[in-house]
Amino acid sequence: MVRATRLRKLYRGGAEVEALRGVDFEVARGEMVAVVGPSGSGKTTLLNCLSGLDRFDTGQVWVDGKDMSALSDHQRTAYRMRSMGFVFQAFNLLPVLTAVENVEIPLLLNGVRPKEARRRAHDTLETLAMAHRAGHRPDQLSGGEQQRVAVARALVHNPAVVWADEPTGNLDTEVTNVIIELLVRTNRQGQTIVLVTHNPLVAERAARVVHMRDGRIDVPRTRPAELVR
Amino acid sequence: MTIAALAVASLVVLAYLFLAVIAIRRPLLTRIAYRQVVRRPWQSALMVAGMVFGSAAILAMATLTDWIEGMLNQTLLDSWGNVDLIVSNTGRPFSLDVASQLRADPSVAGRVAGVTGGQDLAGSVGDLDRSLSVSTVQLIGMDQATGDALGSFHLIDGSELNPSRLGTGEAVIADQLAERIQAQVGDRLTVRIARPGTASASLELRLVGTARRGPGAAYGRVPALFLPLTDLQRLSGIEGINVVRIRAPGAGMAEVQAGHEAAPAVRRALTSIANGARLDLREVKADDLKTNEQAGAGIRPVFIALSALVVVGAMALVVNLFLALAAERRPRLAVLRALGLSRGGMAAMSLMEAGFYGLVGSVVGVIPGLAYVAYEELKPLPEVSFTQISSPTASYFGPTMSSLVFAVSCGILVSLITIAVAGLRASRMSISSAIKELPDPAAARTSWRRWGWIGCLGLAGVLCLAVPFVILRAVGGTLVIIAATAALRGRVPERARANVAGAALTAWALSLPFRKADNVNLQLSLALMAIFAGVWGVALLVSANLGWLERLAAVGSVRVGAVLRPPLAYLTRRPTRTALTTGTFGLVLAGITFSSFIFATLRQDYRAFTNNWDVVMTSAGNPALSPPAAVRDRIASQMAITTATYVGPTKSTRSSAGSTDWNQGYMVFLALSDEQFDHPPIRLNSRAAGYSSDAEAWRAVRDNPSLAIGNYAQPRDRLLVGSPTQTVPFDLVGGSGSPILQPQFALWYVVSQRGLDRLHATGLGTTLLLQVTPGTDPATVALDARRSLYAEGVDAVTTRHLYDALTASGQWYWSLFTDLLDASLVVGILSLAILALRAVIERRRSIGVLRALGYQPSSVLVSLMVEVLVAATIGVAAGVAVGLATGYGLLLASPSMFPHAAEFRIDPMIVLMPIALVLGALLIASLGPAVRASRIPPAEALRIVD
Repeated sequence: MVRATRLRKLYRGGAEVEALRGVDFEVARGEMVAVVGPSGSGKTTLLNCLSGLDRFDTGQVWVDGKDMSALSDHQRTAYRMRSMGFVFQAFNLLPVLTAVENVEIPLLLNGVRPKEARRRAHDTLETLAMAHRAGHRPDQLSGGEQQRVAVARALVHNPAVVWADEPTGNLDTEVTNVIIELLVRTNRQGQTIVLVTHNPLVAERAARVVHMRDGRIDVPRTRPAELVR
Repeated sequence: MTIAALAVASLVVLAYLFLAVIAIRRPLLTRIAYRQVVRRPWQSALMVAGMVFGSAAILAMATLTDWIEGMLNQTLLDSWGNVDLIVSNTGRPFSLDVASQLRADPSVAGRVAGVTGGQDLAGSVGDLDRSLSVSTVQLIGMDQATGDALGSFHLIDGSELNPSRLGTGEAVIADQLAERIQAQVGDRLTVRIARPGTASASLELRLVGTARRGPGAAYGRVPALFLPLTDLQRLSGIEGINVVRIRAPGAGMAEVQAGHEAAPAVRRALTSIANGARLDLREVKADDLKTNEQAGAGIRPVFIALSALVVVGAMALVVNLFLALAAERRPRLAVLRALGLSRGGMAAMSLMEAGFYGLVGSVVGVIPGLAYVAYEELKPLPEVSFTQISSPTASYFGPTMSSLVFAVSCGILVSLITIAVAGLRASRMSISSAIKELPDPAAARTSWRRWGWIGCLGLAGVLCLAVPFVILRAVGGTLVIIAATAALRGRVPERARANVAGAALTAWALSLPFRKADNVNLQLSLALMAIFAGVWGVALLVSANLGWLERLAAVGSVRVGAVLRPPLAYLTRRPTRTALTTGTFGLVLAGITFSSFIFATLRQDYRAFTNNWDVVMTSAGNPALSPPAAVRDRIASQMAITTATYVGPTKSTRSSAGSTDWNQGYMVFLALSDEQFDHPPIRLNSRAAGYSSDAEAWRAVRDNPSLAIGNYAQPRDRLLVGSPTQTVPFDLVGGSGSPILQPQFALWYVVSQRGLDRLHATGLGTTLLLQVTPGTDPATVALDARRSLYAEGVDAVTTRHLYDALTASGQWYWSLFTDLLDASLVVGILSLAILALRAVIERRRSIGVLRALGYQPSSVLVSLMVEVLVAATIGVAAGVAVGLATGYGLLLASPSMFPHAAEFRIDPMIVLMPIALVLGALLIASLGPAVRASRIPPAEALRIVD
């Protein structure tokens, strides 16, 4: 589903920093992979490069058979719109839109009729037990609720991959469990998920954990599939 | 230095002392504040630019007022030369001995610099060598024996001439008369005057010099001619004198003060002279200065209030920019807060930053402020500038120290307050959320502090409403509405709150023009208040009901709807914030629209203005003037009106401009015959409430000698002539702005023949109104009439010329501040461009999310441009609507301010041109931030830190 070979990324500022140093990485369809590692190890950079949010210097990335390095910014954006979902640490809901309006953005961008989009957004919120908060704005929701809405937004258009960057970084343990349970449940339904986390409890729930250190994949460890599935 | 300037300057000094104390006690804060200022020079420059605009606007308006007041005051002083006190007998003659006895009185002699008797009359003057004439001239007879008491004539060739050297048959003329008849030394002048009971008489004189008005013997508020008293006595047939002129020692205002101190001694001396008690003493310069001050007392507040339109716009720009900066600095400031910096400390830091911006902005603002004034002063004055004076003697007056201090201090103070409030607001943060760049959790709904503010605001509003002053009441109502709306926060949905507040503010604003103010300036101030309240009200109403735009955007294309939803949601779902931003822009456009209405509506219809008369011939020396043979065959109809000039004490009570005290007046009275009252020469602009028609008002004047119709008169106005002890009152029942009865734009009053008999007027003459035959050019008729009768001092002018002169005068006056409004559009444009910049800074993360979800860069660009354009359109709509509504309300509520049967009109070009320019400029100005936003890489915008 996702394959990266010899991925290299340089940050050019005052001093040149090599964030990714020839990373080879692969995610199978329907797999849930957790990328862990210390701060500055290149986790988020890897996720950004894989998802097309950021460019890389050398190497190649294929997502669902598409060579991301061959796509223009416009094409990558369109590809993200159709085939990817995102969950961020800071929730990143649009503050002026209600929960359901936030969720239906990807559908509307994909040209789904407004009524149909609203129905599907509601359904998705319902599966996440958030239907009763559909008309609320982000500032009226708790952190956990906001992240559940963000998960709904990431899933509503059935993307090929969901990228989650520290999805529980701002949540307490109880809410973290709820969110990770949601992601695991979605993954069980066949959704490919790549998540970046510092939290070992979260990483434990993934099918596979990839360790990063100094821009390289450290020691790949695979968890028994039965724990995940 | 005025009290207002001193008070504001003191507050600024106190504020900077406070900042100095903070700087000494908290050097770290000072260092951080300094770094904030220098870190982003362009943003700091923009901040300073906003303050420059605010300060410049205040200075420009204050200095323009200084200029007008200074020009009027200096011209009034110059118009009296060295004459400080005048003794007169309601225009009637008295013995020359009065002057001798006053001169001989030791208590008077010790306090004055000179006393001389003479005659002040009105007549016509023609230059036989230039074939030009002026119909109404002040004829000033100088006693050759004592005339030197007034000093010498300062001639334009640089020489001086003592009045005692003025020989029989010789004359000196004042500069403005010389300009009108292009006279040269040596020219033969003919002076004509009407003698009581007999035909008019004329006298030929030789011009020996042209004198400048100002310190010296020459004086006169209208074109003046000086001749030996004996010559004038012979010409007028009046024995004795009708004025005693007294010169006080000193110069300028010291001379005025000396005259004031000498006046009691002169009054005492008069009582000891036979029949002296009935004589009236006027402090002519002091009286004129006071009258001018009373008449213009309301101009300064109106001008300053107009500058407030720009100041508010500029400060909104500053607030928007500061909040954008605060959003950008939020995580860093949160770290400082975490390290122990209090909210007060943050506010103090903002204040120190503001102290720098305010000081630099306000001081630099002096340059564009003065440049604006210089631009206005360099524009040529129209032919008719002011009704108080015939032509200014002084053309340039720099800013006074008082205005400079006031403007700079106001600029600094407004900047300090604005940024301090914005800083306090920015300091309200959840530290943990801010450090992580997360949105703040919802704030607690109530707090004692918030209710304290609401209570104070509401109480202030109620107190203002209780004061019986219309402007304070207008402010009070607005404050009460704001307080009530603030109290509803969190209790009703935001949209409902915005609707309630918008409707209440709009209704209150629309009611303001209908409130009766005591004078025109207050009425205009009320209109400005209506603009302030109305623009915010309408902007709130529009912003709260824009939801349909989101639905409309989705009608054509789902994708377009999806792209436009977020930017539109930012506008429609934060109505208060949207209204505050767009309202700022709307204020300027409302001002422009209102000005356009004033321009167009005050511009009178030519036919109504002239009542179909084409040419006006005048003479102040011939009561039996008739058209010359050269033009008779081209005249379809005519009306000859008897005129007389009154020179003497007068007092007017004008409902439109307040009362004035007694002063030495100069005005023309026109006495209509019974038949002329049935077919009046002009149309009225206003009439007293007791009369159902204009014809009834005219008939009332015919039947009652104590009634009159006057130019620019309003119902309830009153005119007193004579003296405080021998008053001849006239109640004014109607008014007209048409000058065709007095082409020299002096004050005029229409009375009956019996009314004219009540006062002692001189300069008996004629105003002859002519209607030319179809196909005849009125200008040719006027020229031929002048050529035929210049030797008799007859003047002829077309009504078109008078119409154009008066229109140009009105346009010049309004352009003094409409130019400022036009210039301030830059503030509006910058304000909205900064809105785009603020959107980019504040929504960086949101933009990143949208880009991640599939927003193309072009979508980001389009959405930001749409947001700015919609905001601008709301501002334009609110501004134009409120400008029109306020104008219409003013016309309905105060029709007397406008010409007769004035219809609601606007000059579309004055409104449409700025709108087109603004929208174009706005697109260009906001393109930069929008392009910048569209180019942000999503990963960078999300600032996902590894």
